[in-house]
Amino acid sequence: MNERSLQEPTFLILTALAAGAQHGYGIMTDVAQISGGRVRLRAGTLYAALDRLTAEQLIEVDHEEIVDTRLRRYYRLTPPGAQRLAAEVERLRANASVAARRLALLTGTA
Amino acid sequence: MSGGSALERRYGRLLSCYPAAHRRQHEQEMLGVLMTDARPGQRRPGLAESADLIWGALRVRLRPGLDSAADPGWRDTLAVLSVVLPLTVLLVYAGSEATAFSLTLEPPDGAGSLLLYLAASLAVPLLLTALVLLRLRRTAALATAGLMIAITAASLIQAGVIGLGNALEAAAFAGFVLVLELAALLASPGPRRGLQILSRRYRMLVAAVAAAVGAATGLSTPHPGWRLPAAALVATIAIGMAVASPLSRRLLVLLAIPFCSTTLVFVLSSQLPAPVSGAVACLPSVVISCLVIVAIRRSARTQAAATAEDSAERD
Repeated sequence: MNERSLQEPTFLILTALAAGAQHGYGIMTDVAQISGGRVRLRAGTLYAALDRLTAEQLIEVDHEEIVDTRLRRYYRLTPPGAQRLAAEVERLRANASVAARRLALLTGTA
Repeated sequence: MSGGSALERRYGRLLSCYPAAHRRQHEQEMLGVLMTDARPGQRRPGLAESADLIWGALRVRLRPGLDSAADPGWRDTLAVLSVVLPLTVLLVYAGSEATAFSLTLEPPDGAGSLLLYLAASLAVPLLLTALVLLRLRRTAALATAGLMIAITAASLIQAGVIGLGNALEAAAFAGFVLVLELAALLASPGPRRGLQILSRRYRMLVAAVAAAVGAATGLSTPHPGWRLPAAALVATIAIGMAVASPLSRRLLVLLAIPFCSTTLVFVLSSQLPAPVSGAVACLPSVVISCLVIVAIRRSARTQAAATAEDSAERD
């Protein structure tokens, strides 16, 4: 499988949904928390991503509810979405371990 | 609470940048997120937030296959383009040539040169228009490829006869318009599908009015070199206007490629146009573009309604 690497916001959205179904605002706050406040998704970026991920069938609508007259739509990871995230985790892990080994050698010889 | 409702109204205005299909799906949900995320007492969307919403809308609009009913994707856009491109070029050139000729009543640089000029500017779009209207996809593609080679060669010979500027314009036309037409013919289901999308009624309306406007274009573009810059500006303005149908937006982006590129060649190789006459020259073509947009939008809407009915029945 030769898929392009996920962009960080996409990776973080999928990671947020890996914990269970969440609504838009929940994903926004979770992504901020996962990234230690470094990535703050805004509504435009979030919904462009959610829309694309739904079209790619990596996520799907779980359920909807009305809270204070406002619609909340919950999204969940699909099995292909979970696979895609797992593949990305593996890719990042492999890259990171190579980088760590080489850095260790560098600091070892320095 | 009036602050909150004013903020919600302003967010609503920003969300109107999104395609209708996306709004139906996500507008209430996005409003909910935006209002939850708003600071207490906030009355206006922040600058970064507004930019993010507009950028998000642009990304959604530029993504192919958002709404399969109103947005048949790039292949269908190219199918429409294969019909619209030669037709647009033909109408603008025909109007320009006819009016210039009737005003002067004599060929611009002698009979031989006029013949060459007409061969380069009128016969080509006329032939291609005829082929696409006859739905002859393969013949049209072969003709386009042949013409591409012939015009490039002819314009090199012409350079000595009609001057380098006009010859470059013709060569650029061959390079950009014909390459795009060839791509449209080869990468799409072809003119048959294109004509199907441009539903009959609106096709007639566009053809009739565009013919009249095409002639008027000639009146406002006495110098042949004005035509492509005029068309380029038109395409650019029209892109901004084409917000309702993803198909028309894509179509105009594609149309802008040959016109903008040719204009660049023309401006670089020849004298810079005076702004006022340039603006006047653009008006008729603006009308043509608007008509095409309206026609495609209406066709798309009709199709969308039909598909919605179908899916309602299935549900």
